[in-house]
Amino acid sequence: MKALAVFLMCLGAAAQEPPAPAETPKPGTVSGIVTVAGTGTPMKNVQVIVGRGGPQERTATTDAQGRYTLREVAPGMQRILAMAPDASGRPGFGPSATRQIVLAPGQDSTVDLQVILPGRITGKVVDQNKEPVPGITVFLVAREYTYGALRAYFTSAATTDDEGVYTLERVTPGRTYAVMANRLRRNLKPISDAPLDPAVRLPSVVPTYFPNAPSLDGSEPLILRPGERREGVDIRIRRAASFCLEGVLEGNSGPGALNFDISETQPTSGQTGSGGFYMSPPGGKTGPDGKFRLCDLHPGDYELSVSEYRPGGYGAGQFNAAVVTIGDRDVSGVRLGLRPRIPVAGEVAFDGPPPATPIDTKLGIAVIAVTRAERGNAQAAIPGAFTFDDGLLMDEYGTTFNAVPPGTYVKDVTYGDRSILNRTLRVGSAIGNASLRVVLARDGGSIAARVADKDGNPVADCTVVILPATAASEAEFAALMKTGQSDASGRWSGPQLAPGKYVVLATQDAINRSPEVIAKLWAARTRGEEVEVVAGGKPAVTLMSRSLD
Amino acid sequence: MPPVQPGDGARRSVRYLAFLLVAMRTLTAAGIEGRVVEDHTGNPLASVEVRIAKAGQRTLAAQLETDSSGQFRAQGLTEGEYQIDATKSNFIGVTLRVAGLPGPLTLRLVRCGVITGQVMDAQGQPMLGVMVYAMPKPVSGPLMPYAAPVPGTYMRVNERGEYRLHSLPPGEYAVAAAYGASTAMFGSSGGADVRPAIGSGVQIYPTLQRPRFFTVAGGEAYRNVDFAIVPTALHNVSGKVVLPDPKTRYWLALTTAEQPGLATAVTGTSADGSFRFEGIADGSYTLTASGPITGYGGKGMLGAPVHFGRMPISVAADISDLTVPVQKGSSVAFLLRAPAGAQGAGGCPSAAQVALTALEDFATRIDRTGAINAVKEQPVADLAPTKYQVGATGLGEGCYLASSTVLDLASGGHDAVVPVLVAPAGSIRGRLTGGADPRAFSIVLVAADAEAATNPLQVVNPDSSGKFGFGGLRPGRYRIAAQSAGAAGARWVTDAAHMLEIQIVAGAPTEMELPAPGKPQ
Repeated sequence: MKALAVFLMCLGAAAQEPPAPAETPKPGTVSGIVTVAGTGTPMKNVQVIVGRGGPQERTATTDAQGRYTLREVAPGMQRILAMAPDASGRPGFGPSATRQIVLAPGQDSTVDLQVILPGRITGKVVDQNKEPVPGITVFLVAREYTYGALRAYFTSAATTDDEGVYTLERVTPGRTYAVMANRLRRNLKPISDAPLDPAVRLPSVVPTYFPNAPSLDGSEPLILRPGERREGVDIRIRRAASFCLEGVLEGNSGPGALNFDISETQPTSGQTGSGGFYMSPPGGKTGPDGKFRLCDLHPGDYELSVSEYRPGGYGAGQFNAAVVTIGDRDVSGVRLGLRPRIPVAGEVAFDGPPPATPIDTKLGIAVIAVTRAERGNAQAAIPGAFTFDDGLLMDEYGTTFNAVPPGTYVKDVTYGDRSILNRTLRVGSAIGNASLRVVLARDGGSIAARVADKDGNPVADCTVVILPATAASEAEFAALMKTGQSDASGRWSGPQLAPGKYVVLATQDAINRSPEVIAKLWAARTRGEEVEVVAGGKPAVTLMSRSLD
Repeated sequence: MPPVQPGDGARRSVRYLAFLLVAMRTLTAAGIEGRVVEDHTGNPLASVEVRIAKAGQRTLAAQLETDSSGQFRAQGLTEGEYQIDATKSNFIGVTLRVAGLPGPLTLRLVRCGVITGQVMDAQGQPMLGVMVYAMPKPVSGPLMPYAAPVPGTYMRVNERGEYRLHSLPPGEYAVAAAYGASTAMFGSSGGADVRPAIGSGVQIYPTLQRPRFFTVAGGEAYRNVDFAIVPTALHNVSGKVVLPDPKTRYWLALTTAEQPGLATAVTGTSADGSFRFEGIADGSYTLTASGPITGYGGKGMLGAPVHFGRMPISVAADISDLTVPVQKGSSVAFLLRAPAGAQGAGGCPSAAQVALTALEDFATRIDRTGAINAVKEQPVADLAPTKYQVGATGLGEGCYLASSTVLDLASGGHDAVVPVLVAPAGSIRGRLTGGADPRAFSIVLVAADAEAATNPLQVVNPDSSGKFGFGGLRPGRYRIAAQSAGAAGARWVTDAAHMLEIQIVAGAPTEMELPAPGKPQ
């Protein structure tokens, strides 16, 4: 009512005065308390930010009672971000929490935030003599469906100290992890001096999963509670017969001095839902003859790669990789040659006639190597052609699209004659000068979701999940899953979808593409709201937040 | 006595080698066996990697590990000369060259040292974010952290304020704690939490004026080396950097003359060049500025064109009107030089890399390298107005930097060409005196220069006349001593007080007489 009165007064003033420039809406104030989720303990030195990165950015730091106040906050939809210090006090490097609000002009809003504390895992790595092993790399390993396949990724790492002790920080609570110890020799000699006879070689270190398993399947899964300090995650490293891999690396004009890397094929570096973690694998450089003899290899699958840096030292100009299997003997006669960057071009086309009104925005096509930090970006008119200016290394990439025009969705992506939609792009795998073809379609619709409590009140900051009603596999199910957060009015409007049946859920549980969560979602489909999306349709669905368990 | 310093990152597993030259005897057995013990206790060492190579062979004859009782045995070997390497993480390893053995070998590995403690505030609460460093005792000048620190020789305190420095080879070390807006904090996060009344600074244990040096001779573990950061009168220092176009962010650092290697405080500019240090104690400082900053990762990364500023300031109250001018980095020419006849096959190369290590902490990456040769001077650009230690890499085996040169650019550029003097390895020709049976002793040589970490510990046995020799030595400082060779408890490395310091020069033998100890130590 008060706001209405102010509005009427303003209207009256406007009727009497000459036209004035449009007034900036009166800013408001956002204040509250940041606490530890679960315990309610106030958190000090937390950076609270609104309008991050923009001209309207406002920041505050919580006091000893966890209080903060953000002044002069622009009205409208705002996301409040709280970033706690990490364990060593680095501001903004610890866990975070967000809340979305709608701030009215001049409003003083109270927004409390609860920060979920990460966990920590500590343990000791010992050898067969129960001796501590310094300098061992201990990885936090997570499994996740990415680009249509289940893969294992490193998500964090630590190194054992002189007593063999390691500490893994920033462990996401509720997520299933494995802990693996491995010895990484950073700088490999191209020609190993390991004995010719495998029988007199020192057994090699096998990547060992807690507590003493040679593979991820045999590991003991670890799930931490918020803020939990899990101790005693001790690993006794396994050993196995040691073998050598011999061969020659070739450049454009035959054998040459080239960079090489070698590492187990799984787990790998790469991007997961919780961010990217990249680690240089063991490697070195051959002599001018290109010869290598790499030893201390346990039985298993390895990726051997060869690369040549670009002038200036930034990134690889040429590259190639091959999977090599070590069995029960040495492997020799391997030849691996550099491959130049491959020109990759393509086109964006419509399935059916293009819209009557031309689209003046461009589609962003981004690729990132599944296990490396190699990236490529291109932009295309819609419809229109595109090219990755610098070409792409012959590697396996995930593909994402940005700025998909409203009312359209990506119906298919082909490379050569094969669909790679929700799969990986293996550059160089298609015959001839194969190109990418991105097919956009306009026959889809979207879903308008609203999350409410049992009394019909909106529920903000709830995860809304759109799932395909049918899928051939969990991998496909995970690839087709769409998620978003409900806003202050409990609403979320999903992206454009292909016509078909979908199941929609709302939950406060953490959603990711780990096999554990995907399995829960698969089982929870029967508890969701089934929705049929038709061309141009936007069915509305009201959801109550449910646990996936 | 100067310390042995850890080597570069490639040697982070502390796989230092020692050379033991054993009198040539005939190999009679079809195997080599022995026992590896810890030098300072004589306890057997399990899981020591033992590599046995036959002379003239490109691959090892055997590769094995000691068992739980420290024993190793390689069988099926044919007669010949062998080199035996024994290494274990956190120990200084050993290398033997043998040609036949009448009985089992005993090898001694020196365990690295440990220093632990806590960093607390005046209320006894842990200080978070503090970085603690082991700093080797310098021959002269101020304490400096390692230019290329090895993991374990520095660490950030944990949530209880605790630290544990480890992997410390024999030497003497001071311990420093950097808190507040330190280079480590600012350089890893782009910001810092400066606590009121605590501020930013560097503290040496127990005091900067009288630092304590912790001696590591093998296996020492110093505990409760605790710091208390107490409140003091603090001030703010602010001003503006006169930014060149295009205007971007710069970083500034405050250092003291007593502690130039660790910045007291670091801050960054706003887009208009304004800056503000908070929590600065009374004192005289050097204020440095560098930029443009393109990112950070431990220290600030510099873009082009690099500019630097430098000025002295005295802080006794708040300062708010500083103007910091900057100018482009300078360029200096270098020429590789070796003694006549030293260059060529087996000697020093005609081309190498000059490595310039800053002796002041600008909180940004100002160390530089550049290709140099013996024919024409080569410039190295983007140098900061500071002192640089001149080093060289890519010299190959058997060639070393012949002198220690400091290039002082703090007050301006340097027009003259800087020669980088290199020379072939040095050597020792010695004689043990005063011992009834010289063969009852081992001569132990410990290198004291950081760059000498490839072979920091070497051991030889004198012949019956007392003569002994060491070859292939990097020029620099060493400690040497005669130790009893046979006694089970006879350590190879003792504390600095029981060893003699000597200087090895390049390209020429150092003659010396070494008195035998009265009784085994």
